[in-house]
Amino acid sequence: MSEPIIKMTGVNKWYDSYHALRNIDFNVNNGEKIVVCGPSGSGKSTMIRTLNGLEAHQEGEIIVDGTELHSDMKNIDHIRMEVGMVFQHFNLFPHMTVLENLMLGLKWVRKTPDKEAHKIAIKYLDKVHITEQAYKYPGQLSGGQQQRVAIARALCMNPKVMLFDEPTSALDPEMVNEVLDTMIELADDGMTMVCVTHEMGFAKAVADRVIFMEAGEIIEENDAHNFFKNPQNDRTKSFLSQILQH
Amino acid sequence: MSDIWLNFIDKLPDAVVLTAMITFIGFFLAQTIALICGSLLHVTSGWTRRVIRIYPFVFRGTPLLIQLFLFYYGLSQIEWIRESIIWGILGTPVGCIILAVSLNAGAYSSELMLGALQNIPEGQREAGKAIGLSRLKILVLIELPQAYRFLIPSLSNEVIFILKGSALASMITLMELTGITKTFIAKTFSPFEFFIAAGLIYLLIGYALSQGFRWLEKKYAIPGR
Repeated sequence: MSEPIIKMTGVNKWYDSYHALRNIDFNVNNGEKIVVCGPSGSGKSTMIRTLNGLEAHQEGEIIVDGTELHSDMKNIDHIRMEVGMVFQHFNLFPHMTVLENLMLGLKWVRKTPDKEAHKIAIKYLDKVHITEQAYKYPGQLSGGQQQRVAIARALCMNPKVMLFDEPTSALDPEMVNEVLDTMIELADDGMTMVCVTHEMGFAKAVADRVIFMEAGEIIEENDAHNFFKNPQNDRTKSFLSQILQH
Repeated sequence: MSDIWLNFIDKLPDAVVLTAMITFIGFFLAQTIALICGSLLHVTSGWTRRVIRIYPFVFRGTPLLIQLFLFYYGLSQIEWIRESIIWGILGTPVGCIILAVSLNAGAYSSELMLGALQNIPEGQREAGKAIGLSRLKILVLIELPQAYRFLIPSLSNEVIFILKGSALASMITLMELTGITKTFIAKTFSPFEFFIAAGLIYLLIGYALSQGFRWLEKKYAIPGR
């Protein structure tokens, strides 16, 4: 097995006196799909946000694609190019068309010529099945469509890893599936993915491993089958029973 | 119509042009100051920010008339300014009034710009960072275009504020709209008629400007918002 694409070793993070991440050890191999779950405030989002430097860590080592993330963040732009991120609230740029949203990073970070950037953007809009919306503005799209555009925007940068921070939590229920379907297609293409989500159906369908966090700690880590069938930790059991009750 | 009114109308174009010139140049400079100062306040923190903040604090907190008099009567006291190239501009009454209204309105606008930039959700900056954009590119490509759309309605207030401020130019010998009006009042002793005439002209210019900004606001509105 080659080097893991993400390697977190002994990572600790504090917000002032609040201990947000405790001794996180966590690796992701190329092509793996990881689902991170846990109660709110458990540090799931904080953890994946340290992976592209949106949050700084105070202790330990984070290596992404062979580059260590430092608190001085000189090397951060390189890492951000290789790591795509999808947010809970989409965070599309409201003053740009869908196409412009997709081309922004290509033009200004990857320095891709306009014509080629346009081609790449259309390719990924096709991929998330939303080509016909290319010239609309985010405010004219449904939540599900916006989130698919956000996924396409991240894919345009041709990332090696995709991070998903509760991508379906802000969606109306009838739009959850279109986004999950897009994510499943992406998983089938072999994309390396780390997803913070409560969609356990999605976890069962695509996750190689599931991680359960509580109070800033990774409490349980197992392959998807055993995680649901045979959880070891009592907290995991009670969390799963609550979330799978209905 | 009496001769004195014909004479007044005859002098009006030059006066209105001067008023318009002070207003437009003042507005342009004030907005340039606001763009730079507002953006700096937005991206800095701690002591740097506190130092930059002295500017809007001073220029917002003191009367425009006092600032104008300080520039007009005060700058000539400072030798290195009097001997520098910029004295060609600052040494003139027009230079002084433009400097005063720009700095004064620029101070207000800087705070407005800061407010507009901070009004943009944090998620916008994070999305920019996540695709690898630098802080400067996030500011220029993502934040400022949204901030300006938010600011257009207040720009209309700003330019009217400067238009009215330009009337103070009459205090330092300039024959703009208010200056010319005062000379006619001194000649005729009929303040009502001439002040009302001048007031109506200000109102008309202000109305035209605000309509212009309303048009801009519609033109740059973001569809679906």
